[in-house]
Amino acid sequence: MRIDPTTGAAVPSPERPAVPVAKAVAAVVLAAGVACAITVVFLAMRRVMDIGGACASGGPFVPVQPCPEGVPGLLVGGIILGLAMAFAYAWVTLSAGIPGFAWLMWPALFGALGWNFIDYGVSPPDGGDPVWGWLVCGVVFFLMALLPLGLGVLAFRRPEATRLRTAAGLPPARRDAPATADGAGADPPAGAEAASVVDALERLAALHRGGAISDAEYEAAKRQILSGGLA
Amino acid sequence: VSRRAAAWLVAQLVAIGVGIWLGTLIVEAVAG
Repeated sequence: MRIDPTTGAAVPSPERPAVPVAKAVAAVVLAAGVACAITVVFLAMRRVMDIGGACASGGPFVPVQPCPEGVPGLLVGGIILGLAMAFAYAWVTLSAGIPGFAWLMWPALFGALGWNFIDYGVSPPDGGDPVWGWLVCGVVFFLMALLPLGLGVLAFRRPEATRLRTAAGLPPARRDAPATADGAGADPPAGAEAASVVDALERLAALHRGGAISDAEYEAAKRQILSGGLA
Repeated sequence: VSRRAAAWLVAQLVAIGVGIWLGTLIVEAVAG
């Protein structure tokens, strides 16, 4: 968007379509919502780990370790609303072409929860020895956070390699080349050779049908073509 | 990075900051 100096009117940039206002507002609000949900889950998880890492509320039995007030609702609500807003945010930013942080939401969630496990595993709230179960969970969560980052790097590298091959005048990789009609694959020499054999056989069959060559001559010539002699 | 992309990223970073602040407030209000 730019301002026309003669009329003072706002003129959209010609090279890029303007983002709809509703999607622009939604992207910003949903970004805040996802960050809010991850923060709520992160802090609520710490409240549970403060009392030993497990609690229970409701049900027919008297729980040994009741949950802190409001924490179950925060965890469940934060996860459900956070997932819904994360999907909505990804759709809005991708469909409107808004550069965003959709790729960072999964690593942010699992990185934050993994940090809780590592933090409380190294220095548990009762001041005792490190809790190996929590440390293992922390490492697993960190790995889960890093996995999509690695896949993202690979996704960025693949089109770059194709662009480099094109710029260098090299043919595209074999899987990108179109298959030939006779199913001979993407290799141009092999496809051309197969096509010339088919042409030669068709011409020979036409001569045979027209009576120009006998049955014996036709069979002999066909064997030669198929063995590569006349193709 | 174009100016348009930078403006988008800054706007969303501010929104993320507001979201983190709101999340802290909600946990404090609900769970004490």
